[in-house]
Amino acid sequence: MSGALRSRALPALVLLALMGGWELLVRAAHIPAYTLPAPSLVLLTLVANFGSLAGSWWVTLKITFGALALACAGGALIAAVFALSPLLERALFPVAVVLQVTPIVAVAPLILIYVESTTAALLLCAWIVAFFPILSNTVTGLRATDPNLRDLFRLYRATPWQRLALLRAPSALPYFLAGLRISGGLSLIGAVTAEMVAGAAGRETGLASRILEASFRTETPKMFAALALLVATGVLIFWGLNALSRALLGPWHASESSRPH
Amino acid sequence: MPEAPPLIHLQHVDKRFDSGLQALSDVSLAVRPGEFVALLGPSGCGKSTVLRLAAGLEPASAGRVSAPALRPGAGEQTAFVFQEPTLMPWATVFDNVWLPLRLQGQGRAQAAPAVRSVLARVGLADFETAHPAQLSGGMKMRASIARALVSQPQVLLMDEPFAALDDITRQALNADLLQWWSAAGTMAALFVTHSVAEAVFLSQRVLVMAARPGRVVAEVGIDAPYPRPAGFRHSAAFAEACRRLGDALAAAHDGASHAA
Repeated sequence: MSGALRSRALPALVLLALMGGWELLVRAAHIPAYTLPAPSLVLLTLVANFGSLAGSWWVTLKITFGALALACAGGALIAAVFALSPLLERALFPVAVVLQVTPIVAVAPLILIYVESTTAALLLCAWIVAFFPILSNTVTGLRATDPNLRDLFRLYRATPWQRLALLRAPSALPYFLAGLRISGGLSLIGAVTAEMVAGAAGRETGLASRILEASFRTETPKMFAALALLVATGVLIFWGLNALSRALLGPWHASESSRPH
Repeated sequence: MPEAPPLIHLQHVDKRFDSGLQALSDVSLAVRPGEFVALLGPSGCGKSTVLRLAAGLEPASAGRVSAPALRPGAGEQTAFVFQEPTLMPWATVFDNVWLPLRLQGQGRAQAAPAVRSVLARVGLADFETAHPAQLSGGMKMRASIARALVSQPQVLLMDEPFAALDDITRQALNADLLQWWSAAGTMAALFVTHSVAEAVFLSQRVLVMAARPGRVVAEVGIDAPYPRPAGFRHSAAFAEACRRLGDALAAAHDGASHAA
């Protein structure tokens, strides 16, 4: 078996085996659907309810990718400001740490009170969860330039802008992308958590409020169907960001080297 | 014929780091246009500090330093080659060599003829689009030297550039370096090494340094004319120069250990 086939086929086989085991267990033990629905029933429920679930999926996707985009821009921008001004970094980094360590479930109710638009409140919650890994990784990356290259840029009398664009930003790119991969998962978690707190109120509701709603009605298969969409979203984000990282770093960075480590 | 004024001139230079370490004590030296001078000494004798002073990367604590890198104006007159190739890993060989011209405001198209010509000279014409990770150690060092030469500097400062290479690659690069230096006309080279044979093969003058504190303790002239073919390494003149330089080094070391 070739390496590429093995690396794709093996995880797929494991996943299929898990699904098969689950299906067999539910059928053999006669577990009722309101306790644990079989994968086949989840799939049927998903297809049957796709029309209404897709609308909610779209809402969650908007919040997740909106927060991720803002986390990218915000995290990288704040990191660049910190890199140019160590004074600002000393002054403001503790604020970022406070934002990071405060559990979002605990602050989300407050944010929902202070921010009028629910969408804006959800975006803010997801952003708070997602931006820190990008910020902290990019700050580290901007500092991790080769000291000899720094000397070389000084010798050739590079301007601060040339130094940032040609030396510090490319040095920071692998760090930024590592942060982005963490933030991708976190923005989904942040979006779902905030939706959970916001509850089922309002017309534009995301997948999390559909899960809550289904749980109140003991529609367990529907809960699983919504959950499956969330999992699919998370996996797609992970794949997408991995592909981006490979495309940007492939030719030069050790983390994307095809040689065995 | 009157001697040209020195390009690099250190007069009674002291260098003390913030840690209190006295790196250099009363160092005086002059390098004139078109000269190839080697700085030879054990590790920790301040050889690299002399280069960093001449490149304007460190200020002297006392004494006078004059060098093109310390004068206002464009920054392309001094080039520095480090012990590591110090290439930007994310950039192609072309982009790495373009860097000094790019920092002086030259666009890709404007710089291309100079970059291509220097890449051809160092034997990397076919590797323009390669990334440093795809090159061998010797090729990386060739790219690093190409970057140093591309701006046609007046002064080439080299800090043990071949110390990490195998001996075969090192000898080939030594021979090539002499060609590139003589082709560059009046470019002065200051070359730091801890290898007696390398200092003799490359330079016209060797300044022998001793440590704690770093100082110049002897100056040995290498009379053999350029061009020096690879066979120069096996000549009687080469052996004789190595012996004289080795004696000077040993005497310096004795003096240093008596003083300690």
